[in-house]
Amino acid sequence: MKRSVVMWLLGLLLLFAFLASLAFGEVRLPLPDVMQALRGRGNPMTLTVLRDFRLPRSLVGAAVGAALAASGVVMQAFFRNALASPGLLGVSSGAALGAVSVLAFGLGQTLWTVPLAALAGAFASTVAVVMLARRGAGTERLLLSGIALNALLDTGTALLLSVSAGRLELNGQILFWLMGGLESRTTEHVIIGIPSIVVACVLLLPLGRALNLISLGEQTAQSLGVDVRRVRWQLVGLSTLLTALATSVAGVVGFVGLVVPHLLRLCLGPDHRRLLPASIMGGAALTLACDVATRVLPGGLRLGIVTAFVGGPFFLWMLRTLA
Amino acid sequence: MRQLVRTWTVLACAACGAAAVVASPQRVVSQTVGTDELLLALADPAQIAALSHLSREPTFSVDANQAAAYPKLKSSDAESVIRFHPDLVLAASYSEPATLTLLHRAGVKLIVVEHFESLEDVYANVRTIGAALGHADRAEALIRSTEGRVADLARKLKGVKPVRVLAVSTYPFTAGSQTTFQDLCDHAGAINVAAEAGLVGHASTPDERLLTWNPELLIASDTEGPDLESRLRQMPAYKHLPALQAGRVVLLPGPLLASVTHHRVSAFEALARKLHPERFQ
Repeated sequence: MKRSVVMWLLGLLLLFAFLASLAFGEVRLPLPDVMQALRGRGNPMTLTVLRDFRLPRSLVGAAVGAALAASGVVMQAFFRNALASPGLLGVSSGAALGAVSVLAFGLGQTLWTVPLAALAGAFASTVAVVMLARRGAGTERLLLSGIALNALLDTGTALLLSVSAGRLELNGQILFWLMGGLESRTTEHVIIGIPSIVVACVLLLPLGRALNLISLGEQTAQSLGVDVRRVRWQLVGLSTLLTALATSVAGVVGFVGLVVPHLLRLCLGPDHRRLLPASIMGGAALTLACDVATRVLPGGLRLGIVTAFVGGPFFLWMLRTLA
Repeated sequence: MRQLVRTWTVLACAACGAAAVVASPQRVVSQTVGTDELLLALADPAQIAALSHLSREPTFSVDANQAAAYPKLKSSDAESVIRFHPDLVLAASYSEPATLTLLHRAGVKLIVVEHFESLEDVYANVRTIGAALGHADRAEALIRSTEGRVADLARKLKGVKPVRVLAVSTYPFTAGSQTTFQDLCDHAGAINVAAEAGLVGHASTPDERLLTWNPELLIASDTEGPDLESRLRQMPAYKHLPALQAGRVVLLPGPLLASVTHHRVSAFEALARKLHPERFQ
């Protein structure tokens, strides 16, 4: 399939997923009503549901998916490992520990505290992993430090879960956060997540060529004129920022950063100049579609569960097909 | 001039308040099981737009059968609530903060029940919701009737030797002080051995210290299933307790045991009957 066709299809898919995300929900909103409400017309109920409830949810969902997929592309190129995912350096685990700390101690009553604590946890864990790697951001040391830190941070989260287990309402909030979700997103989540994710994606897009060269190996990239040290920091920094922001506003959402880059690499080839924008669109569309599924399927599914249901079997199929 | 404006503002607010008293809410949505129970007890049926998504679950709600006559929320999120065009929403402190914020921003009037550990808390909640529904008289009648039952129970239990009890469950947690279980013990002629040992709130059941607490009777929810006793016997924390070995386990209806409303008086009475049957002959 022609690459430009794939890009157009992704754009259409994203548009369709975004409109579906605005249209589907408990209150039935036909598409014409959605379009009218987007222009500020319609009955107050429709306007409230669309403007106050669904629009923040859809915007945050798209931004989260884009951020995770972009971060996944960077991680897979940087570590030259198809299994690399946004959480590899302990960013998601750090965010989880930050958010769970606030929830477990009953401090999650304002809308800012949980996302900001998650952001703080994510950045603290990144600083820790870089310090543990000692010699800057060398890939092997970074990887091993990330694995060790992930285990440590997950233990901290488990400890807090155990400590708060007697308070069922807090425990429920923590478990829901750990399963990822986009329900009840507000303007605060939009403010925390979207501008920074957009800026980080814009800064990442010109690094496609550098990613191509880095994925050949650091020595090769160096010999081809890439300032590896500087690019490495840019990539780790932006990838961390994207994962941290996504996790802070939606909880832990798995598989998007792993599956989307893989799938699009199959369609578009390994050129990161195309893969990055395609993954940003694909990640956003997949996350929005999975969120729509949480609303229309019975059983109170969480976003992280749906992405895992979609991503897990797909990943296994891909491993089997490509083996 | 500023003083004049302030005076007019106060008068205008007073007028609005008077109008609000006359126009009681006609589409009330309850977001939690506890507020479902209060709404069902205090509102006219026509005022109830929807009850919580758990309202028809007999394992959670005392009023599950009664609730089946009303619409229910699909989930507890804001969109599920707003679908019913509510003019008043009843929620609790454990409702998700983001959901409450969204409802508040959508201009929906909210009452959030904050405390429910003691009977005094329950009476305060009954009064608040009764007044908001335009049925303050009904609220006072409910409080009087509840107080009457509590006083009657206290008279019956006067002078009894309190029984040492422990809340047990296959989920290895127990209830200490500042819990609804403590309130139950305080009114049913029982001593909560976990609170006596200094446990506050709900906490993990200690394996070894438990042997020194010496409960005479174990209390559990009937929602744990009829084979609870045999499952407890397999748990190291409980299997050495003389009370369990002697089969002294009392099952109470789960929704009553966990009730945060006036219904908990039925739990007081049920437990008191089990602990002190001689006073009820």
